[in-house]
Amino acid sequence: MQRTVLVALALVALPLSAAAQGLAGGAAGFNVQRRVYHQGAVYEQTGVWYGASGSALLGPVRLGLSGLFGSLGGGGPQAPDLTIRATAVTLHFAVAPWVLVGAQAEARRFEADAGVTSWRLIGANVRLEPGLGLAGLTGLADVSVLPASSVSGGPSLKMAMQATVGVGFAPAGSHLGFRLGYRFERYDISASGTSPERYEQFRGIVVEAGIRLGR
Amino acid sequence: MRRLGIALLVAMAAAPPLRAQGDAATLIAGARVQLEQFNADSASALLERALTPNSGATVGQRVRAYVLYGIAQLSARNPASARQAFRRALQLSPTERVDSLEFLEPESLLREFNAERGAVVAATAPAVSERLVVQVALPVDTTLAIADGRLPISPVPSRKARAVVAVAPADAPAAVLWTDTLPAGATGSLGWNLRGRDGALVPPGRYAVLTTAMDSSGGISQTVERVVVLSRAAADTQVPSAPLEPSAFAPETLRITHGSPTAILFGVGLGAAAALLPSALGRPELNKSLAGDGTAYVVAGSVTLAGLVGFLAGHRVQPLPENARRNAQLRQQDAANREAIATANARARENAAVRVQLEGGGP
Repeated sequence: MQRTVLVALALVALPLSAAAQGLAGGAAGFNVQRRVYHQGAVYEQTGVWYGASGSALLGPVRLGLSGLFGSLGGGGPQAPDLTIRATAVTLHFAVAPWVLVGAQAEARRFEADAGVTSWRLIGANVRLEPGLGLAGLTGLADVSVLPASSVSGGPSLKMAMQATVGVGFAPAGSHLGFRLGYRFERYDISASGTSPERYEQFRGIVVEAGIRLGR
Repeated sequence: MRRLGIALLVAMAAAPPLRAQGDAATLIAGARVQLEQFNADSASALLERALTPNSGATVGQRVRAYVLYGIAQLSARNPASARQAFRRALQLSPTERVDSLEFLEPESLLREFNAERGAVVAATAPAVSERLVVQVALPVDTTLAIADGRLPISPVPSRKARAVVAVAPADAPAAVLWTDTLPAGATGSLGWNLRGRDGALVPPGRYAVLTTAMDSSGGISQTVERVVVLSRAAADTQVPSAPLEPSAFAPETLRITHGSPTAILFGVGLGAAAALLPSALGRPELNKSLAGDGTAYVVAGSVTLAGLVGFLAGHRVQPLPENARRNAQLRQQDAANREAIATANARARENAAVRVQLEGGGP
């Protein structure tokens, strides 16, 4: 799945980037806390994820690609340590200078000693970047609703939602930009076989630094 | 036949004196006929009769008779006698011309006649002190309108004579642009309209005014040359107005020192959203009996603070369309004024008067 996504992404992204009127890229850190509710108990893990992202602008269209990797641990015997890798692609259309609507597809891979679990998260995304009165100072509200999501070879996700709220600043005359946000993700995994429903949520501060070329 | 004609004409010439004058005319007419028929001897015989003192011929008839006699002598290859006849004619009528009779003796008539005229003129030329001269009066410095202005040129011959005035470029006197004649005995001025043969105004420059007088006796004065300098007078033009100063325009935007209140609204709204995200989106099973997420509050505070800073430190620009419209009108009006002035100035330069100064005629 991930390979297919990457190949498709490359086929779309490379020609688009060549014709792009603007390019942006950056690095991010996500100080994440994971909580899992399973069979009446709540487990909590923490970790730090790192990632990179890039986007190309062509007229009102913005194509974005991002990746995260990191680990989670500290959940005790019932919650084994995990390494995680996530790759997402977004395609946005700017309906206003500060309003983007589009679609998102993400593959997320959890690897533990007991095995590997993969999620496919597909849905819609709305991103608001309103100005806050000063040049380069913008707010951020990024909400994804991912109804077409499932666990690979497993149950579907009854609810999959991601939201990031924060503030960004790009100093005037500079190509650099910085962003501070609070990210919250919720996933309700359907019951499967003898396994009851399981709820997971990820939350924490996201810090990003990036560079923007072109408009 | 020829002899009969001569006899008849001689007989007519011998008629009574009362018919003498008419007979002279008849003799002269007959001689002209004989000349046209290349009968020079017959013509000479008739003319000798006409020139006798008792022929009753008038002065004009005598002049005519001498001329025809001279032609007859030329035809008879007797140029000395011909020139003597021409001299007699010229002494009676110094301005006599024979151009209309050239066909009777085309080879030598004009040459011989004019040579004799020169001799007669030289013999009868007045003394040096009486030589024909002409003076010409021109304005020293004048300005003429190009539409109907005329430069007055006043030739004054020393005696009764016609005056011929020509104007040509000073460096090309043969290229005559304009000429006119003041009849003999007339006084006054000729007026050059400052135009050439093509009717167009001559360009600024130096022009020679050439004046010659000729009297009735063929006396010709020396040509008097006066040089006038033509230049276009300064046109009465308007000074274009200075470019509009920026202060002439009303501001088209209004800079408001604080940012938009929406900055605060967005800041507060996003801050609240960040603070409420865990409880609003999270499942109660996961959030129950757990403390709130402090990191959410950090971000919420940061976003709210950013909105507040943006409002207080920011500014916004409010367009003033009424001022923009007024400024556009002002620019259009200014452009129209400039164009009108430029057009008027061009027309004024085109119609500027011509200043004529007599070279060496004043300071």
